[in-house]
Amino acid sequence: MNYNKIFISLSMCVAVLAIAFLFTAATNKNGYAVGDEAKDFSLKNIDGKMVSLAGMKDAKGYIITFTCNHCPYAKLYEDRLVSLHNQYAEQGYPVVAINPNVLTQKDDTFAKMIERAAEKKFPFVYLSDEDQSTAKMYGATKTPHVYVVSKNNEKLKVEYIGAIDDNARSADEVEENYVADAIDALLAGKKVRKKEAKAVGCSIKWKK
Amino acid sequence: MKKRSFIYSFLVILLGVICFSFILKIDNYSNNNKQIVIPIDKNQLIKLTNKDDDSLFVINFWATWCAPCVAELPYFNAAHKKYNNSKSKMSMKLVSMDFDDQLEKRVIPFFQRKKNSDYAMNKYLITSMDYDNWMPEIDKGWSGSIPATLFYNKTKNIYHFHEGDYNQEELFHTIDSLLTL
Repeated sequence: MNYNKIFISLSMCVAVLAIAFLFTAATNKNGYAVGDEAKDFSLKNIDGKMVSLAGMKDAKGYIITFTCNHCPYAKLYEDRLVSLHNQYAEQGYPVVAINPNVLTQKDDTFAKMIERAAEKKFPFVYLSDEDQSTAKMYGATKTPHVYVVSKNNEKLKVEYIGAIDDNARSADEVEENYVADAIDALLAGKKVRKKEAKAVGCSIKWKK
Repeated sequence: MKKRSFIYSFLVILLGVICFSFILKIDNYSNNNKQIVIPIDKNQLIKLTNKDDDSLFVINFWATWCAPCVAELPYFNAAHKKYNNSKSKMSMKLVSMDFDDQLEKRVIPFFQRKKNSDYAMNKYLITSMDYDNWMPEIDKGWSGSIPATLFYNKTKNIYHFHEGDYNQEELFHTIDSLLTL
């Protein structure tokens, strides 16, 4: 028996498998990265009308937020989304809320979306991504999951991806307002300093 | 006399109700089942994800509020029972992402429920809420959704991160294939 040979072939196996794992991890990553050009979509709003980004003529960009009714983390951010919209819609950055769990979670049906939006008096559109194609196109994995997108000559560009701020539990204890900071920078014609931020969220329940 | 017997019977009934509620309580939360969930910060968590022992570490991130996480936990318990022995050398840890004020209120009671009382793996709760600072250190591609599970064995150079839930078959298959590497 040549132990050296066995050792070499074993380590080769490990290396190949490790590379295979890395590769699958890499190919699983689809959707947008910061800097990518984003595509428009057309989704049904809670008022029954179809909404697309291009339809919001005065917008300089959008706070595209994948969110939903049932997720406790999404709930923690409902009021903060309302404030973000109230603060930035007039300046050209409205919140566009998209629910990707409409057919996969019992608390996220279209009827329940209408209910929740009325309860919380959402001033923004709350869209149903029934076939989950928009969530997939953007690469959203969880709720809440924000994409700040800017618009220049009808071209959409992803400027920020991730969390709304750095404290889910309490709005009062927030130290960094990632989304607000990104939009402030864009409105001032500056570069977005923090382009991505991680936070906990509920994984989107995909259709089987 | 009548008044007295009324008071007595009232006391007897009261005692009965108290005893009964205790029995119920013991049934739901067995008393001798002291469940330990250790609060850890990000530095301790990062140490936990970088151990040098020749063992397959399986670290599951979950929360009591996360329905798919709770749904897959029994599979992790089954895997712990199957693979946690000197032969397989697998070490499982559950890391709760509940807020730290939920440790006594929800996380420990979760494991005291009768059906969860045999979870014998190490259980932690991560107290660092600056997720953006430590999540990328666990896995660069982790968007932050849970459930998520890290598998690693430093000595064998095994590293696998899975964002999403497992069914029992998938979980056992993943552990099996990583243990045979």
